[in-house]
Amino acid sequence: MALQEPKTLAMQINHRRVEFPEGVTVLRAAELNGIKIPSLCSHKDLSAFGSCRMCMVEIEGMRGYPLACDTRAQEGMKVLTESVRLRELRIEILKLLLSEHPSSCLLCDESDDCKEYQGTIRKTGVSTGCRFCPNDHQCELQDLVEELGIKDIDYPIYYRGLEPEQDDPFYDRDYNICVLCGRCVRMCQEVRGTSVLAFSWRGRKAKIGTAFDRSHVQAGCEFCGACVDICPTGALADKASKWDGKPDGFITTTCPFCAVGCQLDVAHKDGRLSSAKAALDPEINDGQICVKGRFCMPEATHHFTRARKPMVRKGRYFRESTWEEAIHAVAAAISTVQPADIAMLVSPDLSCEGLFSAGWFADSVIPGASLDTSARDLLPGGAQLWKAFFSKPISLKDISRCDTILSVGLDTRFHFSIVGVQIRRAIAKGAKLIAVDARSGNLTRYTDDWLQPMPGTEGALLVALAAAISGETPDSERAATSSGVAPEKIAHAVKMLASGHDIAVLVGPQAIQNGGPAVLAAMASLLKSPSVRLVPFYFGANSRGVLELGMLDRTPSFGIEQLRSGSVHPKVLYLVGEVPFSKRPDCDFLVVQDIYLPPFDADVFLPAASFAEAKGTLINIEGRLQEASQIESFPDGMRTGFARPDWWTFTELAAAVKVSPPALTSLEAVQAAISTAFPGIPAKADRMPRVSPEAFPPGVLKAEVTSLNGSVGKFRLVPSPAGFTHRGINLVAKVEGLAMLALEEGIRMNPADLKTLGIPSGSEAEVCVTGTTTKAIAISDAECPAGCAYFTVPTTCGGIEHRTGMQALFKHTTIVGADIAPATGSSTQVGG
Amino acid sequence: MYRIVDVKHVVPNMHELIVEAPAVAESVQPGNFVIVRADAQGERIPLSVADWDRDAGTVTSVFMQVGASTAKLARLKAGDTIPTYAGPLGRGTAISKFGTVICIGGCYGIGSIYPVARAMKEAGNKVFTIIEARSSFLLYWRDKFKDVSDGVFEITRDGTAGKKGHVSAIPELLQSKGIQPDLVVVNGCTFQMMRVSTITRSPGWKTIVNMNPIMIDGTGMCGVCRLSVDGQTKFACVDGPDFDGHKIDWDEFLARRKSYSPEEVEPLRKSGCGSHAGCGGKEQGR
Repeated sequence: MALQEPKTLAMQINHRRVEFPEGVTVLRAAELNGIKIPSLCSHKDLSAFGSCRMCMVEIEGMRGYPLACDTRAQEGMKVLTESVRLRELRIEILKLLLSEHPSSCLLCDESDDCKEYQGTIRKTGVSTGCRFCPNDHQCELQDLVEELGIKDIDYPIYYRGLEPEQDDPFYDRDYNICVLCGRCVRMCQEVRGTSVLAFSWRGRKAKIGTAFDRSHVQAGCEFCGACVDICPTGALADKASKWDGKPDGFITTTCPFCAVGCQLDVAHKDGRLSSAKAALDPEINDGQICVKGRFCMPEATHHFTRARKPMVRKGRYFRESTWEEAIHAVAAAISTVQPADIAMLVSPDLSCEGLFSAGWFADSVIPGASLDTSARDLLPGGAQLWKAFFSKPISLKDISRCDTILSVGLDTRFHFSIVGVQIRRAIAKGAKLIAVDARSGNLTRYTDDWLQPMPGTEGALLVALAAAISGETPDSERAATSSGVAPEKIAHAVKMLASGHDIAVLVGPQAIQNGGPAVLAAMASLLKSPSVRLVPFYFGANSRGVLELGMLDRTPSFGIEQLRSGSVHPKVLYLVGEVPFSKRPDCDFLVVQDIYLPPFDADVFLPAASFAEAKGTLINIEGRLQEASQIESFPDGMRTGFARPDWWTFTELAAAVKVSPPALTSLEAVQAAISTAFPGIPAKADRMPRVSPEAFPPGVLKAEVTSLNGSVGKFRLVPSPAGFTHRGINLVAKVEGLAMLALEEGIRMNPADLKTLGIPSGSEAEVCVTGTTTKAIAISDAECPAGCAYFTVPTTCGGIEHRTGMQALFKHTTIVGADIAPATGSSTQVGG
Repeated sequence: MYRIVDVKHVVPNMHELIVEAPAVAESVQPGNFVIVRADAQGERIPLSVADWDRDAGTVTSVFMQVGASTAKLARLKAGDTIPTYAGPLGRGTAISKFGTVICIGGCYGIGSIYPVARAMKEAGNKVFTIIEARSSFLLYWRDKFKDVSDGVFEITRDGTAGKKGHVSAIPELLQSKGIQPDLVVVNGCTFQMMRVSTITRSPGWKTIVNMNPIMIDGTGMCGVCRLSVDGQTKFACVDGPDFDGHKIDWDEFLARRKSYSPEEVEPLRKSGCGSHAGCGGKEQGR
């Protein structure tokens, strides 16, 4: 649809002729011409609200003092934004606002001394003045008081006396200092499309809150932090980073936590990463972000258990050492065995530089060594298939332009959250959404059609729906029998899809990893349809980098699956940011290179630089080669650590193993080597989306459909991919807010099923899977379909002890639809 | 274990903690303090005593939420228990008949000056109480002082209650009422106690301050609470906490109090909720 440029009109502001595009408000017209009108509640991305009354202006021919934010600018208007009368009015209104806003610090003549002597008061629970407020010196209200020169408050103080709301994770809410501007409410409704926040009560009891005062967790909050970022006061503040106060500055970087590759503005204070917020980058996330990018960075890199020094085992002791000693120990171990006995595992969260160096090390320094990656689980079906998926252009922002959207196994509440925003934008413009999901996800409430197949049978449905999209006659009956979805519902969806002109098919990790090969086959068949935008969503921030660097083309002698099952015994195992074990894997010498120590004994530990400490590039879903910036660059020290970028470690190791100096001595040298070896990858960061050149080999996969099985007492075991991972670390173990959400804990079952079995939610239950018995916490989850038991595949066990019991299930993750029988009766239940 | 009788959020950031501790209640005196731990993993922190009921065996403190340990205490509920409540500690405020005594309280010190004022009154003194805060909504126990004082004055920074200003307005305030003090006792934040000590120096009013250093055991073993009084090293826990405000090396004291500022913030840098700290996710999300 061609966009028409708006007409340019002209008016007078403060006796000056200004031009503005037709359709904007007086406030925006002034803003576009560099004229500032004070306002607390307006925002360029939000609808007019007019609650703060600060933007009142005088307009010739109009009665009273109209609001600039709510008055459309018109040709020939004569506007006055400053006058003695306007100033008086604004000061009076602001004083009224301040009478309900603790602000004595603004007026205190001892505030400088107070700052000097009171080092600790920002740690208080509630803000009772600017010096106590996390938003001190970054507060719009404070700025306005200064601008208008208020020195006295003539009104009595009305402190609302509301208890601060601190029981939800990630951000605190103190509505005693809220000015009721409603920006958070409009952000949540208009931009995010989630509508978790609203005004409650009226008059002086008016307050922001959720429906029925439920917790934000219960109310469906995505914890994207958009409300926190837009709050003009300190009413909403990050839990983990509010103590830092005003940051020294921001550095733009790429989010390291998933393959969407959102751009972040990372705040730093005294050289340290403080917090992150979404960058106003129009290419991908456009000022929006998910909980991982917004809130998980500080704890992921600064957790007190962060490994800071190299460590080497000597006899019974595992001790801190110098880098030299650690490198020497690894080199010695590698030199004494045949390369064929060495296995390496690399994480898809590594930067391209780290991945390439690992490959270079395996091929050039220890040729013949095995190298594998967990990206093999994340991108199942083989490298050729995924090259085919990436051979068509993928655009995330174009999702909002589609008229029909089919989402399969995709929940955008906490993962891929900005895609949910795009989907809701499309829906607002009239698009239809069809969701295929066994569980009730955050998207199902917006759907025109929610198809709820038995888990593991998404493929059967998708085959039929793909046929409909491709203009073929779908075998709806077979799809219905296999998936348990009513034939008329399928027919309805088929009809909607067949009438779509611009269709987005979004397939989430739950379907890709556990929907069976049929899902992949159906996705492959869609590549032929020109009207379809196929977007696969997978975990692993740089999984596409792993693919493009040829790491999935390898046939490792020690594959990740064999290593996990313990069926092979490498003499040296070298884990690079990848810890897919809960206890020490079977090997003679174990090297771990990561940002945290593994939860088991290693022989050498090499501390890796985290996303905050090293530069690198990551390839996102769309094929953009994006730069991850270095935020922190402290000198080595006990507090600051001795971490090194992954590529540096490989270079040093190479030098220690071989006499001749290695070629990769700088980040730039690594990048140059990448572009030489892989001409398809740009030589330096390039944010243009790219397509993979490889064509799709036809007829690789055939659809296979698993039949239903659901007898009494037996449940369908549904493995879900773990998404809160980074470099082999379970983020849940580090980020306390994620632990509170407990999204990946225990065995999740329908409440009715648990009731029938007599297992209270939260108590321990025994789970038997094809002869293996283990214990797990049973969690009541209304969104799980009856007859199913969901659990998160514990791919990274990084330190979570209570989850290691689930390891027994782990062996069965490849068995789609295996039966599990939670044993009933008192003998098998343990009170939780 | 000590049972919590009640925790009340009296004014923003100020919490009244009432604990069942009969042994402490039996012998506690004005100016004493107790060492408290909010949970078994918690640090020991000193809290001034603000009131007690010897018959019921309960002791009351008012504390300010100003860090990780006080945040934990603030989240306790009636019926909860805490593992440590050691006291009464410190020498207590010297009570006798001085004549006219000015009791000044600010912040948590509004609470702890109360038993001092009460005892001074009972000892036959003429007692005037001055309570100070930044704004009217931060003043508490305003009525309680009327029974134990011959006059109660309020000072607020924004002038929303009583006199507008800071403690530096006290001499002017007393002069206007024709009050000539024989003794000044101050409980409150360090800044306030230092300020009062400065302004009472020239008129020569004897000034007693109740010091609040970082402290661990509270019985003279660790030495963390040391301060310089008249050029001599003293331990606030066993030699004080009451000292002559005119003899304290305030610069050294303030510097020592700030020793662990960066470390004090570390335990707060968490995205979990305060009341579920370390719960490992008992509250279930979706």
